[in-house]
This record gives sequence, C-alpha cells and structure tokens, in this order.
Amino acid sequence: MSTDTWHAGPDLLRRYADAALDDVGQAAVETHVTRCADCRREATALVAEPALETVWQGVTARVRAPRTHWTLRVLRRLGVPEPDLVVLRNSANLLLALAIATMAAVGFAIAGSFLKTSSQEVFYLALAPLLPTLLVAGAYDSTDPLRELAEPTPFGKLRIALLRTTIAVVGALPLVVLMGLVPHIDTNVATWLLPSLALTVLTLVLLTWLRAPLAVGAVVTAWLLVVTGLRTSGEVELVADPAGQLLAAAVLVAASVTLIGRLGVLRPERGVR
Amino acid sequence: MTVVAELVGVSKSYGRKRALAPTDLTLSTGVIGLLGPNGAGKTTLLRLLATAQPPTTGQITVAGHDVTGSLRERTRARRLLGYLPQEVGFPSRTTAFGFLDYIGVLKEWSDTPARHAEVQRVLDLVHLGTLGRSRVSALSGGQRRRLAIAQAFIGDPRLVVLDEPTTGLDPEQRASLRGLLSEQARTSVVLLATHQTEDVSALCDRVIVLDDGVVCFDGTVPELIATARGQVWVGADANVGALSSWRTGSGAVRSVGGTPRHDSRAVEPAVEDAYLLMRATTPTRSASQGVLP
Repeated sequence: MSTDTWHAGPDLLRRYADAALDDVGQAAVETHVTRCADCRREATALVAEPALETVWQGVTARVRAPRTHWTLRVLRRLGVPEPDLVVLRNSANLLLALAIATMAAVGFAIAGSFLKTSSQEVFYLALAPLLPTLLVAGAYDSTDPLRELAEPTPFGKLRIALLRTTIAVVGALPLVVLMGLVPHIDTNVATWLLPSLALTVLTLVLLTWLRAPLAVGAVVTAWLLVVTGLRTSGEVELVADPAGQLLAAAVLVAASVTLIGRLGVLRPERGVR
Repeated sequence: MTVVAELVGVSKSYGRKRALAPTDLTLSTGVIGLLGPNGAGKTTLLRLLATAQPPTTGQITVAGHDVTGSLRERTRARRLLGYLPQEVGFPSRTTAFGFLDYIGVLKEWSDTPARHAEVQRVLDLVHLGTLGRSRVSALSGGQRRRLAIAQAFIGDPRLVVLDEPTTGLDPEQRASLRGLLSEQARTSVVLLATHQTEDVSALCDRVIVLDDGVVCFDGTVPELIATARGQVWVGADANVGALSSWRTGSGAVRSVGGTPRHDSRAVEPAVEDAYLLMRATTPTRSASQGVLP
C-alpha cells in the first residue's frame, strides 16, 4: 500500500522510464518509485518488455559469468581488454606449453654446461634462438581441445598465439634468469638475443600463411643450416660481430614490418558486434 | 529462399586419396540433410563449408564472400558461420557459461554485457539456462552435446553447419532440437550431416546423399522417397534377393528390394528404404579411390 500523498505523474514517469531526466531527477524519481506502489506499477507498464527482458538477461548473465582468477584480475587492472582475458582464461594448454618451455630451458642449460667451452658457443647459438620459436608454436598450435571450433571463427589465431606467448614468456622469465646464475654457463645473451627475436617474429609472420608445423619447420631448418654453415667455415664468431648483429637486426625489422601489415589484415572488424 | 552458400567444382584430396569429387552445390535457406555412410565425405564437405580446411580445387562462397580467396574474405565469411564438429573437446575446469563466453569472444563479441546476454540466450535455446555455472565435466553426455550445439548459434549465423548434432540426445531433446533448427532455417541455411533418417524426414526441406565422395542424390524428401516406390514390400516372408528385410512388430516381414512373394503387398517407403536402395545401386567404387571421413 502506498503511503505517499504525492505521485510522479505520467509525464515524469515516462521521462524516467526513458532515462531522459538528469541524474538528480532520475535518482529522485527512483527513490519515490521504490516506496510508492502505484507509481511503481505505472512505471513498470511504461518500460517496454524487451527492455526488461534485456535487463533481466544481463542480470542473470552477470550472476552466471565465470569467476575470474586473481592473476587475470591483475591483468584487467593493468588494462588488458576483457576479450583477451577470456582467451587467456580458456588457454589451459598454456600450462603445458609453459611446462615444456621450462623443462627445455633447464635441460638446455644443464646439457650445455657439460660441453667444452668452445662447443658451448655453437650449442647455445644453434638452440637458444629456437626456444622462443618453439614456444610460440606451442602456444599457437598445441593441444588446444577447442582447435577445431576456434579455427573457423573470425578471431585472429595469431592474436591468440601472441597473448599466450606473452603470458608464457612472462611466466618463464624467472626461470630463465635463474638459469643465467648456474655456474660455468656463459649464455652470452647479447649474442643470441637479436637472432632469437628475428627468428621468433619471422615464425609469427609465417604463421599468418602457414600451419604451425610448416612454419616452425621452415624456420628451424633455415637456422640450423645457417649455424652449420658458420661452424663448417669456422666463422661462428660472425654472429657476434657487428655485421652479423646488423643482419639479424635487419631481418627483425623487415619481419616486424611485415607482421604489422599482416596483423592489420587479420585484426577483428570493429563494430561488427 | 535466399542463396547463402555456393560450391563450384569443389573437391578435396588427402594426398592421393580423394575424399570429395568435384562438386557443385547451391545452398539456400532451409534445413538440408546430408546422408551417407561412414567415409562418404560428409565431414569433409562440412569442414570445407565451415572453412576449417581449404578445398583442393574449386571455389566456395558464403554470402558472396569467397572463402577460398584471401584471408580477409574468409574472415568475413566466418562472421556468418556457426559450426558444430563431430566431436568437441572442452577445456578442463571450464563452466558451461565460460565455454560459450570464450566462443563468443572468438566470434568477435567484444562488448562484455552484450556477449553475456548472447551466451545466456543460446543457453536458454538448448534448455541449459540454469546450468551456466556448472562445470562442463559435471554435465551429462546429452547436456554436453547441447552445449556444443549452443555455441554454433552464437550470433545468429546465416550458415549453420552441424556434424551429427543429434548424437547422444534422447528423443525429447531431439524433438526440441528439431524445433530450434527449423526456426533458425527461416533465415539461415542449416546443413546437418546425420545417420538418423527419421531426422531427415521430419525436418529437412532438402536431402543430399553422398557416397564415395560423390553426390548421388540431391532433392526433396518426397523426391527421395519416390525413388523407392514399388520396391518396399510387406509379406509373410522376405522377398527373394531382398536388400534388407526384417520382421516388424505385427509379425509381417518388411523387405526392401528383391522379388516379392505372391502374398506380399507394396507399401509406402520411408527415407531409410530409399537411402538403402540408393546405396545398393551406386556404381561400384574404384579401387584406386580411397575415401577419408
């Protein structure tokens, strides 16, 4: 039963239902409507049924939406868009890729430490730059149970790969740092950093055309041929020379420019939904 | 009826094995059933239309977009597609809502409230509206299948490609799915591969029968049934040389094909009878042509 003696009136209620009042007006009418059954009934009748349905669907959807893990909440606070968080939440296979990368890094460090110093250089040069490449491939095309469903969707598969790779790399970073602290290992980061980046970006470029096994296979083969050639001709140091580093930088820039162009082609169409 | 998809000279081979011979098809709004034995090329055809794999030859267009052309065109076509594979693997620990939310993102529903409302809509469509927070691993086989079907309807697609959607559904759920598909088919093409001939007769405006990667029938359900008229009999005993015969609940023997006995009488055939006869009269397969699913 209504206890108010004042009623909002049809015109005011119509503007309230259409959200056409200013904030103060909306709040005032809302306060009144919550206490006055007559005005509440009248206001309810003014709201179109589809609008009520939409609001109700929104409420139920909000209640039933999955809870977000604290790590994803941190990423949200850091400004990562919501759709990207959903992709990460459903990237359970990330753990597998991360575990493989971690084990590879540890095995790589241990195996290298047993070699002679002269062989270590070739060993690291041949394998270290390929680790991120393999990680990218793992994140892109690993045992995703939804691959068959994801493939025919418009969302860029490369974007998914980049998201997963970024998270996997960030997760693996502490271990890589710890690896550098293992005695007798001269990882000589500066030497293989540029080739590593160049090969990774090159792989990403190829992934915009080829399937992951083909793309990775091409990059791995090409790099191993280069290292074998350098080893045979006794010019392994060339990679560390300014000329070698410059060449790697040139490949990196060219691959990055191509990748940016390809991402432009592949990005989601804005305003589709 | 509006033309939504078109295949011109589309074929698919896996190495030296041919899965689909060069095929021309025009798909207009309505429910289209795809019948054929295992390994006939049904899944291949569906995956080609769903852009899950490229054809070896030919051109496929969806709403005017050439999916065999540039990635840009393929992406535009994918915005109009809904696809249910034969088997769907679910991420571990995901909920029903979370799974559909992910597919919603992959279908470019970037606005969260709108996507969540769409997820709830498709959950309600398959009568799983109250199970959104349930883990997929806790759902029954039929519920999981309905969840997989729901994802194909996100975004109200123009072309819905379903590979054996009724597998694992009980009769009530199948009847409910038929209602959903026929409603969707008012504005879209719903193409479903199935082994359930009763689904075809109850639901489909058009039937395509594939065998050995070749379309051996393309027409309406009455036209398919008509091909078997006069070849299905009921009598005390099976026809001589019957393709298939079985004793019905009334005690009479129903025979498909063969020479009828003197006391047999011809009866109205069903889709299954026509399908069996069609399979029996399909030209012998070439030994050099293997078929993959």
